Amino acid sequence: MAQLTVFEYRAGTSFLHQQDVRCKITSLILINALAFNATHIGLIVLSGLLILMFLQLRISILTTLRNLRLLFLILVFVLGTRSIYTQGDPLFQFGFLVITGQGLQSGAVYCWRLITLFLAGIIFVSSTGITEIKSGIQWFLKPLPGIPERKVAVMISLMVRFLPLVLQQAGEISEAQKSRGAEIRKNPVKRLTLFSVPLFRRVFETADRLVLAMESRCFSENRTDPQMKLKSVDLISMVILFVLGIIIFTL
Amino acid sequence: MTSSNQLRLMVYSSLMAALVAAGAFIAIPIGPVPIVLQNMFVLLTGLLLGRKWGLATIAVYLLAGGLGLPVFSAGRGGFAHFASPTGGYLVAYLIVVYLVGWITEITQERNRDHQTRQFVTDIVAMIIGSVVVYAIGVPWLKAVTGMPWSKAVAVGALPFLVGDLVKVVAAALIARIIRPAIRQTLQLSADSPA
Amino acid sequence: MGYIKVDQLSHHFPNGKKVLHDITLSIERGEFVVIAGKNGSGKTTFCRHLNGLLKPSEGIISIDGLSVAKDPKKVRQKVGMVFQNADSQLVAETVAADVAFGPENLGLDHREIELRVNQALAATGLRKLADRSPQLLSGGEKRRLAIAGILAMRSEIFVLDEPFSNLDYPGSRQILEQIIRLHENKHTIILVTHELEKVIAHATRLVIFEDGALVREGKPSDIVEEVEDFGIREPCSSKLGHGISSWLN
Repeated sequence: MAQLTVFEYRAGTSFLHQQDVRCKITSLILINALAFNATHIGLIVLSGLLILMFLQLRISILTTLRNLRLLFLILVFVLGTRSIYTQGDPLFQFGFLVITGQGLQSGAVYCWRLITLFLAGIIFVSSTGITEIKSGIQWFLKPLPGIPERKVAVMISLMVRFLPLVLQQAGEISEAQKSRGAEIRKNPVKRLTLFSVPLFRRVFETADRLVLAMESRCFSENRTDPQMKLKSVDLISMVILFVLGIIIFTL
Repeated sequence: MTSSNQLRLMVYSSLMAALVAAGAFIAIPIGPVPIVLQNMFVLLTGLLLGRKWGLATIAVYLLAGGLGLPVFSAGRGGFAHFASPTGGYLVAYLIVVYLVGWITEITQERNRDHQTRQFVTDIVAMIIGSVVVYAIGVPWLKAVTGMPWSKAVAVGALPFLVGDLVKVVAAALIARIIRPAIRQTLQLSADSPA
Repeated sequence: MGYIKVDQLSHHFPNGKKVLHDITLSIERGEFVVIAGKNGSGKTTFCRHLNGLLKPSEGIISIDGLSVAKDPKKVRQKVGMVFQNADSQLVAETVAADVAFGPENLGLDHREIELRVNQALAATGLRKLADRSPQLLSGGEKRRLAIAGILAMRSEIFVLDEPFSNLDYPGSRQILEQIIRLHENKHTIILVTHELEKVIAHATRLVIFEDGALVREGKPSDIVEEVEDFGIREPCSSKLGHGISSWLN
């Protein structure tokens, strides 16, 4: 059973930790949009900015690299396919595979953009607690019609809370079946059914107990909204980021 | 009273979202290749919860994952997942779950007490859903990697077709077993106090 | 008078099976009532009636003058439930957020919620774990968290269903000490169990269920010697003729 990646929020008092979560989400979206649209010079400026934030948070390089393992595979894949399939002047040739200069360049730039996105994500997650992120989502959903934002916030809580439990139950079922020789079965449909039916049963049983527990704790959709305070520092940093964004965009 | 059922459906939906998230981590080794269960769980979400709550399930999962909550399999990074070559498959889940849920809803009255007919409808619904996954996922893969169509289909669709067929049949069987229990619980809680 | 009044309560399942019949019981404020019985004797079903999670087929329950059937919301605020399965009653992503869940449902303002969360965490010794995921807690800590969630709602009555199941020795001790503290702080305790050993010394009353009926009730020392007739193990010290002594000693 694959291991669950830990949510690597690190409590701290840095500038980024103290920023209002709504500003952080806006910044994250802005940075993501920039990462995809910026020119080369813009990307350099943006990367510099992110590296500065990264250093300020003092995130361990080791955990970052560990988190980037999968990204690395994606990057190699994207770089490889782009270099091969983009039309242009051949640079190297291995048998029938032709690597073009243009391809290598466009692949490298796309990879760079992806790295920027990942970096921004890591910075956001390392400096923002789960409860805060949830509050932020709730606030952004509020003006949207037809979306019960308080319900969504509770659903996010429940999902994050119960994912480890579901994985644990899946692990138990898988081990119980291994011990009874389930692996000998050749029929894949049977294997999937034998594994999933008890898993779904247990999850829905958990859900039914959870409903009782929530009712007994007076669950109501008219809940208290999370509290967030917008400080002037938050606004100033937003303005700075927007100005920077425009500059990066036009570079 | 419906308020109790609304809560129950909300809890079911949240836990299905946890199951869908878990599906990205759970692989069952069948033959030489491990089969990842996430897309099967997405199909089952539609079959079991219908279009509205099915859509809510996937939307909550994608929203939380996009903002970096620990529900995506590659851990942190959030939004970057959508920009990666396989991002299209994630986005396609939204449409798939809605489609499968919708087909289930419009046919369930007619299929009540007709297990075989329900089974066939479920399979057809899921095949349509799976086609949509590739119709979105493959062009996305092509756009990100710059591959030609033939190659994108060869990498992003063909290797999974047999596995998907297996999952579709398994999902229909699982739904046949789990669905009555869910319906019964919902029926019962509709009769009990809020 | 009766703080908690159960009057001729019966419950049958939709299939017609009777799980509780004709239960009448009156509990005073500040009592520590232990409800014992074999598995399937109806203890858990009875508990769920106490805060309106089930609707009586016949009979009336009132708590501090409030009818459970008519006013379940208010009753649930008064009566906190600790369920048998600790894992499926914790709802939030962190310990602190879980304690805040109840007060948030009541729509309280932030200052009040923060105050209550801090008090509840301090009272259950969980302050240091406030930012932890509930999944990473030990069994005893999970149960204490469930209790903290109820404390934060300022419930007066605690109903605990098999609070020692699946706990190791230190975990059981922690929970028992916690429950005794709750009782000392004037909370009314209703504790359901099939093993008397751990709690009997602290109870003010023992109630025995069998096959959905209330078959004995009284002072623990008066009826403890009869319990084995109803499929409940008699505590060791009582068996040996030493009367009832605390499991904590």
